[in-house]
Amino acid sequence: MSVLQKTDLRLPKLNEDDIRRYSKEMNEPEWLLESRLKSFELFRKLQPEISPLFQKYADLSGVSLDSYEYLRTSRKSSVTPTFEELGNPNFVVQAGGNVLRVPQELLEKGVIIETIQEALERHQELFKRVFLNKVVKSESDKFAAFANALFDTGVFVYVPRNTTLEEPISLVYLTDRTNSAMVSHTIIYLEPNSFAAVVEEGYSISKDTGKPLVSVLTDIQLEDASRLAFSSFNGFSKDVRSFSNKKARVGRDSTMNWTFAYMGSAFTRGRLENIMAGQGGSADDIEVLFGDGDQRFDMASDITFVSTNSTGAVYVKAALKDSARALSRGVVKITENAKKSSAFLSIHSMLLSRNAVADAIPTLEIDNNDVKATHSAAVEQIDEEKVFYLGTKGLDEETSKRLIILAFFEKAVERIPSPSLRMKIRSLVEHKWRGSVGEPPKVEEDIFEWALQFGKVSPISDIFGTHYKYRTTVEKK
Amino acid sequence: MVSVLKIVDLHAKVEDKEVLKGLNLEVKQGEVHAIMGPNGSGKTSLAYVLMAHPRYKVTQGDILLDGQSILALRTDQRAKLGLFLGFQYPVEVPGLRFGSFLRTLATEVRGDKTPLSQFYSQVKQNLARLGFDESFLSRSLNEGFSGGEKKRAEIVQLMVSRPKFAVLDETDSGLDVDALKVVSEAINSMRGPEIAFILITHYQRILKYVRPDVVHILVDGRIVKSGDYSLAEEIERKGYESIKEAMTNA
Repeated sequence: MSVLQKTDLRLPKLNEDDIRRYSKEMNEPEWLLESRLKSFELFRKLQPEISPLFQKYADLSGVSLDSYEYLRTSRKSSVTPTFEELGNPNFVVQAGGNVLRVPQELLEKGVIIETIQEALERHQELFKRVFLNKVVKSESDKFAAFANALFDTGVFVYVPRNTTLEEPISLVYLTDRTNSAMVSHTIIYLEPNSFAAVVEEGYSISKDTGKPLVSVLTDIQLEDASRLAFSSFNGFSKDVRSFSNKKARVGRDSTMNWTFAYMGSAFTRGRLENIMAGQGGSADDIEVLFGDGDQRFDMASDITFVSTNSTGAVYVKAALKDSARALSRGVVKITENAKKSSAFLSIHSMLLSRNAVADAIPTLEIDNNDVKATHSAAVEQIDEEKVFYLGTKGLDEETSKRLIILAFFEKAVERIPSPSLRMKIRSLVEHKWRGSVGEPPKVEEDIFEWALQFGKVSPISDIFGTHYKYRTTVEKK
Repeated sequence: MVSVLKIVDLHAKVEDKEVLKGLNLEVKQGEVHAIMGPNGSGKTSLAYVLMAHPRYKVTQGDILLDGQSILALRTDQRAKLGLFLGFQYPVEVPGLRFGSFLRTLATEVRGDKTPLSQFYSQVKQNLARLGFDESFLSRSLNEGFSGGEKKRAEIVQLMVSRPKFAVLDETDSGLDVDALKVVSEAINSMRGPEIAFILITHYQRILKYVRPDVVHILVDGRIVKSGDYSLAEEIERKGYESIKEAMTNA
């Protein structure tokens, strides 16, 4: 991979005055404008990869930021997704447009699910407090600064104390225009002892001929004993350049569960960090990606421990076909004071073709002795012994490999609290594996889920991380 | 018609090492054969060669099913003809649920058209019989299973697959006495004219519960002695050394 020169990335044709103009037009408060301007300065100054350790891997070829329209004052998707398309969850938030539906009883409980603009109008004091405390810092990454400076859409989610949201919040991102840029900024704040699940989905609703740009920043702050399950699915068409910067501050005794399925986009750059800020916190991240064609992925998932007795686990699994490439890295950082931390970091890649390339770089930085930390990394092909084993039971090689590939993703897929999205991802895995288009066959796991539901075999495992493997890995260490 | 599996003068290699050196065996549907042998005698090699393991190469001899050679057939084709291997060390497949795998076995291999709910109620009975909780259906195949659970899970697969010839490779090792009884009872309940068992074992103990019709002693890639159950008792008393010595002296 080439060393990226600073000049290689063409920057947006924007200056401070454009940001001032937009902010004024949107009636934004001064503190928000200041934050944007400071972030913009950082964005221009920072290298695409600020860690000297990883600079040699930075590769943004094929990505440029200059040909897009930014900071649009009106943003309405031309196509409104129907509830059927989205699996009919209880409520739907469309980040590219308006909030479509929020049940009345949640509003009465004090739950806030609004666009950033609405939040500024209706709950400015609260929003300001949360915003100024945010954890995705512009200093940390060029593209975090990019989104912090230039977002023109986004959602504010606020869940009051002792409140449980039974149904997941659905955040849907749609690219629908040639050379459109969607820069989104979502903030989620959970008060103590509350619970919510979020399902984020990205799709392309027209066959774009350009190179749509999607940049999604997600800032999560969890107060004591709260819990958030966040699932994310990248299903954009293969001309999209997507950037994701996500970070959670995990408070005392609170729990953060991340699940990612990356399938689409020409280029995907993902940055995730959990900061274990309160004692007894727990975070895990299960990420799967399936690249084919010329898809490229540049992923990082880090956990930083600053308080005691916390647990964090990262599982990254990449399957790569054709000439797809993925760089997956993770840094577990345990500070001097973070005694009794427990960390697990694993990055596994499966290469399905000769030209596919996977790089895995797990790193541990540990500054005290009273911790448990393990990591593993492997790059492998489909295991011949597994194929033989399944073969002895009567499954032909093609079926066995298909099941092994589906199984490779299942640890992440099974955690996504949306049956329709689970089915969608499985069928996409099938499509990619077969390299075919058209109606995919039924997937065994879907049928099995159906059996669990209607045949009353046994209750499916709790979606929020109670899978036995996860439990033993995290708790016993 | 009673199916016959016949192994004739079978020689096989793995990575240039000859592991089977002229093995002969004939098993008829409905029979129970025990193949006993010391470590390294070729027991697992025999099982793998029967199922066309990709790293094992047959260099001489033949395997005939009802008079037809199956040497050219792939692993899954042999399984579909009615051969089944229960593994000594079953392979873990993380993410493939045990329940959905069993369903796949029934539909893909046997062409089972049983409605789902009915299928799973049968499976639940089989699970219970082998001491499994229903929750195992949602777990990944063999992953995180104890050694004994893996062996018992092979028997559940066997009950779903209903093969003509079930080769069980050291299913008894690693089982405690209670689990051994459970597995033996399950095997005995399946015994009948439709199925033959080839029990590969290092020890005699499973044979106390599952009485074989024929006992074979496998040493150095060949069956050196065959007899009835008393042969297993003899091995238990004297050990494999006596057989080896007898061979050397002969």
